[in-house]
Amino acid sequence: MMKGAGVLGSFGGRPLACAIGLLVFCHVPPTAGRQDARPRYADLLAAYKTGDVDGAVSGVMRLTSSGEGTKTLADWVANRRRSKDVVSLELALMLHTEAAILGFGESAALGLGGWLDQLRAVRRIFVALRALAPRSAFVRNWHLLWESVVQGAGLSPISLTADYLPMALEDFPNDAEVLLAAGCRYEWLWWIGSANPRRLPSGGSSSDKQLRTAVDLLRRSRTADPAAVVTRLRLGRVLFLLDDFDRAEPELRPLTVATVEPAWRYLGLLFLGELLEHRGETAAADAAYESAIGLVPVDQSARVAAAQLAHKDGRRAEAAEDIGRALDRPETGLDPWWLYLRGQWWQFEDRLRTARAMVRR
Amino acid sequence: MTGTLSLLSLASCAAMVSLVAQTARFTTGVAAVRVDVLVTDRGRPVTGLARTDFELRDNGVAQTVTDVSSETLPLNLLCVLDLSGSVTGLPLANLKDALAALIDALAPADRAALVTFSHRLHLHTRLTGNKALLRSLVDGVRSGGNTSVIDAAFAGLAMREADEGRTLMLLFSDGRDTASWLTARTVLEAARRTDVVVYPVTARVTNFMNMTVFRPNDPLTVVPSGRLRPASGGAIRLLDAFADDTGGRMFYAEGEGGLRKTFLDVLAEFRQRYVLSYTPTGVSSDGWHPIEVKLLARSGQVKARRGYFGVTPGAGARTPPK
Repeated sequence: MMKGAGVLGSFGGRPLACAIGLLVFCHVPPTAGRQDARPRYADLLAAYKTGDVDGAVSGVMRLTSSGEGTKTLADWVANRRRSKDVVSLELALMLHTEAAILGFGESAALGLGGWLDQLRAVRRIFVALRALAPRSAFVRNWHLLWESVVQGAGLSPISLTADYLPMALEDFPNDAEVLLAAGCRYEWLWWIGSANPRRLPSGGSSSDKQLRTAVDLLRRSRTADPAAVVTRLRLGRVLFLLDDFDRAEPELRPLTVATVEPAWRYLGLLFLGELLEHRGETAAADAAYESAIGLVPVDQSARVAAAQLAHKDGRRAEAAEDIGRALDRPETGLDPWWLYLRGQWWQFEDRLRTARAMVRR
Repeated sequence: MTGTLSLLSLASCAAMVSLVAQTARFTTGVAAVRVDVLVTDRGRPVTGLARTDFELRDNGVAQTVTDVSSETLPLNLLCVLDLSGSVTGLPLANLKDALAALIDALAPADRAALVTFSHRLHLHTRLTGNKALLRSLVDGVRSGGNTSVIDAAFAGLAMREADEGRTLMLLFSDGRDTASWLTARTVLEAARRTDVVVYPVTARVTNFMNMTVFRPNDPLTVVPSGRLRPASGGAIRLLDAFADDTGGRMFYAEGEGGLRKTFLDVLAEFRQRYVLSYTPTGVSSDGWHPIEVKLLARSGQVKARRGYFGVTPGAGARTPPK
């Protein structure tokens, strides 16, 4: 079995809760009754370390939102940096990272200002930590965690959310997973740009330049880890989007064999089918789509693809039948295509769990 | 997504209007072709026209319009409705209210189908004339998730049944596509291969706050907070293209009760359209047939499909000209 299958098993063919992981933190926003007692920062860190994520996060949201809290944090970070207290900085970074993640969630009552406060806290702590331990395993995992959030949540690429990636590439230039995350970012930017050009930093429309950058990063990732299934999948997809069918096909073909985990295989067949369809190889494209159908419980995209091809081919009754089946998928579970569009989000649960474990050691 | 914009600058209706018709029943070369046409004058539908009021060309060859009908054919109404995460609370209640009014307004011979979408497509019922069932299904719909408007539009097109009825797709969406497999270009091409007339409806909202909401335990829902969001520029162009290519018209729902009124306006306008019938002469039965329709000896604008595709089943994939 190709490398990557084990990772994929965390969402392939399973309901939503398993697919991307039922997130273990379930934040409760601060209540009015708790706001009069301002928590001590050290207590919040201790609470977080011992597993009281909800309490620690809601407390730090209140603390950071005050001017006094901001100054306290700045002093605290400066002191830890002077004393080279990497462990405390890692703990604090995770606490504020979780607050920032929830700060733009609807359950948080922070508003934009409160969210930015958390982002600034994350930045302050991260800068200090990076100065002390730029290439640590914790920092690497944090980069991957954060990138999964940026892509999964569709965060607007403002500097406080987006510019950690260049730092990650600088500190981990040959790391396969960092390169994959970076390549995925550019593919994702192309995608959101193609859907809504105004969201791009340049303000321009979607651009092949982003796809070419993605290809470069994904190729470097593949060099670092030739067996990574997801890297080949994304590389094949991006090459297809650049109309480079000849280079895309060899990336996708190996993913369509039975030994590949079903969710990745499903996507490989879907992407290969589209490539073949664009080449005018209707029968082969049809076969690819049909092979994808049934590999995962929610295979809506493959059925829609097959229906569209039949419709284009003049097989209207077949198209109607296919679309009827696409409209009758299970109410739960996710089509892997929907997750693919969320970039590195599928990594979120694992990264978060790893990061929490690291700071609680 | 690529190439979508290239399809969006379709010719507007002028004195001579490019149309698209269709015909899935065009298999022998002698079958009648029907073209669903809206005639307006200063924005208001023109009624009372006869076949002699129209000039129709198929592939540039003048044809004889043998029949003009209006309101005589039963209506197949395909309701394809956005139930993504942004359509919650009051917007969802408004949508249900509008649908209930629409169902009440259907004639006895009319049928309706109900398809909803978020990222997931769901068929609630195929075409049925059972209004009680339709009301019950509408009452039970729930919202949440991302938006697959492109896939949903295709589903509606592919569901078009080969009967004698006229098919109206009411495509309600308020946001950009975030989850479809198909591209806009692909589905616009599919639209040109059918005779479904698409009337997209979207919301126009003022004081819109573009604040993203992210649900950590529901990553497929990333929606603006607050109220029903207006469709973005890209979404508007897409919906507009569906209307243009199929001969329909885009509607905007505004204000309190706006959606109910808009849905009823769509139905009323559709009933005021004409169905022109002709048997093609002097043209091949195969391939793409651009159609042009204009009014003779009177003013007004004509809106309908730009052409149709004579399809030979299994003859291989075909793509209408852009």
